Formats: sequence, C-alpha cells, structure tokens
Amino acid sequence: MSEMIANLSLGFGVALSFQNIALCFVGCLVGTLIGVLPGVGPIATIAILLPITFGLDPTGALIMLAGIYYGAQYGGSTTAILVNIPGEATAVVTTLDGHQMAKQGRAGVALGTAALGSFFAGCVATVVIAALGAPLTKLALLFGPAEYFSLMVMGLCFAVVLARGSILKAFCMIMLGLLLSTVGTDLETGQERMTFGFPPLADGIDFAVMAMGVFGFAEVLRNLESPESRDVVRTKIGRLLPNWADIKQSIKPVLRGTVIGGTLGILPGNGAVLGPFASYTVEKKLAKDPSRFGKGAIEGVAGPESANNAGAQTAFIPLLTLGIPPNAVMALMVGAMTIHGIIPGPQVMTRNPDLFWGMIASMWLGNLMLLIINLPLIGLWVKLLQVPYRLMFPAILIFCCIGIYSVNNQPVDVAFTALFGLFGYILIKLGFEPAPMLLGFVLGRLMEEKLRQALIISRGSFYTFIDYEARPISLVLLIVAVAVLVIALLPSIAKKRDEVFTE
Amino acid sequence: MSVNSSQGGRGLRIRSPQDFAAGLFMAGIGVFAFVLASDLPVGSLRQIGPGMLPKSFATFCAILGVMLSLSALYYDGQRLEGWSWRGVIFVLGGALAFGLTIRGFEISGWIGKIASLFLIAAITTALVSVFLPRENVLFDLVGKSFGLLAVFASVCVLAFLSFWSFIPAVNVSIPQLGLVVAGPLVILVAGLAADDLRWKELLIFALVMSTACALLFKYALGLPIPLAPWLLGI
Repeated sequence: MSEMIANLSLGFGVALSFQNIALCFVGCLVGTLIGVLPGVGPIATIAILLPITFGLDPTGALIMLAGIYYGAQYGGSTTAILVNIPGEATAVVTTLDGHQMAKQGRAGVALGTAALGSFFAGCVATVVIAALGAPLTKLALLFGPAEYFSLMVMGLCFAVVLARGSILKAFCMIMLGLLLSTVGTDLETGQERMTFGFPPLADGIDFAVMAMGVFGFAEVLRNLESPESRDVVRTKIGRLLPNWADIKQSIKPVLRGTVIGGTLGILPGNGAVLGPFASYTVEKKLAKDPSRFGKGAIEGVAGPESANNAGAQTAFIPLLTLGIPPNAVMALMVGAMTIHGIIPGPQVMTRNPDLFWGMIASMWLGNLMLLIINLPLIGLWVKLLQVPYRLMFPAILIFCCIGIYSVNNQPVDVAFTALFGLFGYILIKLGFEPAPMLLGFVLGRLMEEKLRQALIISRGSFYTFIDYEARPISLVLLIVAVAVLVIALLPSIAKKRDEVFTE
Repeated sequence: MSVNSSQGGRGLRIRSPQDFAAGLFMAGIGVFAFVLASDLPVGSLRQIGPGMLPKSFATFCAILGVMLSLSALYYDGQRLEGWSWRGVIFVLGGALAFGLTIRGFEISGWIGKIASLFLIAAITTALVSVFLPRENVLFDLVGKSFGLLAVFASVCVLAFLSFWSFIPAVNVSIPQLGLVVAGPLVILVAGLAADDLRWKELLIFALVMSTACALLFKYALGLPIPLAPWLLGI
C-alpha cells in the first residue's frame, strides 16, 4: 500500500510538471476535436494524431497519446449522444438512450452525466492500475516463452469471439494479420520473406502505414459512400449539470458500470468492448420499469459510459505489465511506443519508473482535463458536427499524409498507405471488420519469437505448452482459449452473441 | 450461376454472395502467400526455419477462406455492393500525388517497374470493362466491381510471375515541390470525390488548410517537412 502511494507520488511528480500538464491538456483537446467527427473512431483518431507527438520526449509523448485516447473516447460519446452516430462499438449503447435524451432537450444532462460518470470510473480505474501494476509485473516474471505464447493465443481467441460479425470472418482477419506480420526479414536467419525483393519491405510492413491505410483512408472511403444523414440535435443543449434527482438515479449505475467495465477491461482480447453492453443489460434487468430504456433513461447513459471509460483504462493493464495489447487501440499504442523507442512490457516499470508512473498519474489528470474541457466546450463540438463531410475528409487526408510522411520521412510510405487504403476498402466491401487484423499483426512477430524460444527450450516438443506439471499457467490459458471458442460456437450462445452485437 | 440475384430452386446455390467472395479473396491471398514463401526453408520443430510460420499462416488463411466460401452455400447473407470508384480514385490518387510531390520522386528501377505493371494492369482492366459484354460469367459470379478487381489482380500476379524481367521500367523524375504544392494538391484532388463538390469553397479550404498544416507541423511541432525548397529554400 505504502509502496503504491510512493509510486503514485513519483508519478504525479512527473505528470504535474508544467510541460506534461500542457501536453495532457493539448492531447485531450485535439483527441476530442478529431474524435468528435462522425465516423472517426479512437483507432483512426490516434492514427491521425500520432505524428504530432513525434517531436516530444518519450514520457511527454506517451502522456499526450493517453490524453488523445481519452479525448477520442469521450468525443465518440459526444457524437453518439448528439448525432446518433457511434464512432466505435463501445459507443453503440450510448446512442440508445443518450440520443433520446438529447431529442427530449436533455442533451446537456446526458453529456454531463457521461462526463461525470466517466470521470468517476477513470479515477477508480487509475487506482486499480496503480494497485495491480506492480504485482502483475512480478507475475510477468514467472512467464516463460511458452506462457507468453499461450497468453497471446488466448487473447486472439477472445478477440475472435468478441469481434463484431461472424466468428469465421474474425478468424480470417486475425490470420491475415498474423500472415502480414511475417513479411520482412526473418530475425533469426536474416532471410527476406515475401518481400518481392523490394527494399522498403525488408523491414516488414510499417505498422503506422497499415493502421493509417486501413483505419484512416479506408474509413474515409466507407464514409464517402453512405449518403450523409446527420441527425444533429437541433433542440437546446440545456443545462449541463445533472440535478439531484438525476444524480440519485445514476449513482448506482455508475458504480456498477465501473466495476463491470473495469473487470472486463483487464481481460486480454478486447474485453473492454463487452463492458457497455453488459452494463446496459444489467441496468435494464435491475430497473423497476425496464420499458423506460431506449426512451431516454439516464441509467442507460450513466452505466455504459462509466463501464466504457473504466474498460478503456484498465485495458492498459495487460499492455503495461505483460506487454501484450488486448485490443486494436492498444495495439496502436504499442506501435506508438515502439516509434518512441519503448518496448512495452514488464521491464518498462523497472527501467523507466518515471515514464510508467508518470503515465498512470496522467491518466487521472486526463480524466480531470476531459471534465474541464468538455463541459464548457460542448457548444464548439456542436458547431464542429455541422461541418459538412466534403470539407472534413480532405482535412483528415492531409493530416494522414503529413503524418505518414513524417514517420520515416519517406514519400514511398504515403504510396504504400494508399495501397493499404485500397486493401482496407476491399475488406470492408467483403464484410470484414479490420480491427482484429491490426491486433493479429502486432502480436504476430511477438508470437513467432516466443514460439521459437519455447520450442528451442523444449527441444521441439509441443508438449511444453500443455505440460501441467512444469507449466500449469500455460495449460490453463490454453484451456480457457479453447473453452471460449467452444462456448461461442454453441448454437444458443451464438444466437445471443448476434443479438448483443446487433442491438 | 448468378450470385447477387440468387435464383430459387433446389440444389446448391450461393446464399451469401458477400461471404462467398470474401472466402475466395482469403483463399487467393493464402495461395499467393504460399507461393511467395515457397522457397523459404521450413526447418524443424527444434529449430524453426523462416518459412514455417508464413507457410502455416498462409495455409490457415486458405483453409478458412474455403470454409467461408462453403458456408456461403448454406447460410443466407448479404449481397455484394458495388464500389464507388470515384472515391477510390480521387482519395487514393490525392494521397499518391502528395507522396510523389512532397520531396520529389525518382520513378525508376523497381518502382518504375511496379508503375508500369500497374499501368499495364489498369489498361487491361479498362479494356475488359469496355469490351466485355455486360452479361458474362465473371460479373455474374462476383459482381462488376469485384470482377474488375479480379482482372486487375490477376494481370498483376501473372505479369509479375511470368514476364517480370521483360517489363520496361517507367522513368520519370518529379522535382521536390514541398508542402506548398503537395498540400493543396491532396485536398483539391481528394475533394473531387465529394458528390456535393463546390469549387470555390474547396479552393479556399485547400489554401487555408495547407497554411495551417505548414504552421502546425513545420513550426509548432518542428517536423522536418520541406515547404518549398524550389522557391523559399526551406
């Protein structure tokens, strides 16, 4: 306990420097600014804004990136409430009751409740991360290559099950991501793999190129096609702060949402996406009058929004302690960290305690910033939502182009990104959801490395992964992975899953 | 056998055109990757070679693709939508124009070969789309957009695998024009993709946005982006 407080105070010492407060503020602000744009989810937002962190030192860059991430999350909720367009899967639930509240002239209260609930959830999640960070990092030391491999297999299985759309298609995307990750020079033998002999491919496919192509360009192409039907709320925003009755109604949903979202967020493989859905279902079940849901019930905003934010933050735990990103957004964070020369994993905490605890402290700071930024600026976001898409997408595009050029100062990268944009567009047209591909791509190289190490240690025997005497953790992880897949494929559960994701 | 207008009746028919095409796509990628990785040694389990994982992933991709295509025969699913070529051409073309002009570009050697490969494939595809009758097996099977894409991809692959060394390289050199040109260029070209295009507005927006980006990225963030080396020397 005292250790945790000492660590946190170290972190706040770093985060509360003038420069870092300013970076956190700017990160939250621009994150919200881009995240608020309809059809731009957190993945696209981080991809677009990545280049503005390039000139900073690693700690500052990570603090800013975390700020961008929270800003994007909150911006997504704002769009969900005001325009009824969810930026990503987790904001879908917010549209149900949030947009109804907005239509009834209570947009301000919905946004205020979402902000306050998220702030509370963020505070709790920060403490949870600080508390679990050190012990989990010690646990990570028990992990050998076999355990890491099994953990990643489990994470990918979760990602398959929790992806939107058909399980088979999600499987395809993961496999494609893994396949793409093997392009480039083989680390052990130095042999070039599937590079066509082209020099720029020798280092493998650049992560930023792929993310910007598939989530920046392809999203633009997708949005250009759907005719614009923006249902921006025309009624007054109304007062922002919820009154006493609203608070009394939403306090329990916020608490429950925080617990649900925070717990699910720790799971490897995009558990965070389940949080808002689970919280909404729980609130609807517990409500005295379930018929109010879908017609502007404040519990339907407070619970899921808290769960969303708690999960968004606890998703950092597997990344920071084990070095394994649980979902596509965190995969993007891995890419961003690598660009700044930090390899996420247990060694970050021991080697760069400033950076680790500074980032955690900045999470709390970021949540506070969001509260300060968003409540007064809602009017500005509404204005921004009225900018027509014909101007919005060229702006997104020039940002992406400058960004992708700045990663390596290579014009060829821009051309590759365009190619990946086409690739992403084809995937979208074929009904694939590209997010799992990004996760598979990031985990691919790590998996290959760990698989090789594990098999060298075991002298070529696959038994090492299921050896219950020597490696019980690995066995348990693999059993969980198989169980999750089997359960998801059971007909009754599969039907439920479809319902959850189409709701 | 038509995909999008599923005929009734008995027997096997494609109930989910989108999944069917998606399966073919995955299987195609799997086979292509396997061919590319064919000369990589697999090694043994004790000492995994560079080819083991690429080949296994490629195999899995192909198997999953075939499964997806087969499942399309049993479950009803979505139709294949057409493409908006306008968006693809102008948005991606705008990005390409940015890449070519920002720091200048020497199209020669292997890049020149790729350029001419794409050019050959694009011309072939355009010819096919003009001269192929509207009713044909390919378009019936996967729709016009994906049919043309398939033509483009197969010309590329065939040319690459069979007469790559005979393809002449394009030789063009584009001067280093900097953000002053590349910025407005990407916005103007991409802006053409919008259905509700307004020229004046787009022109003003392109100038304002490029100035803002130059100030933000070059001066506020200090990224080494050439502004206009030919004019200002920076």
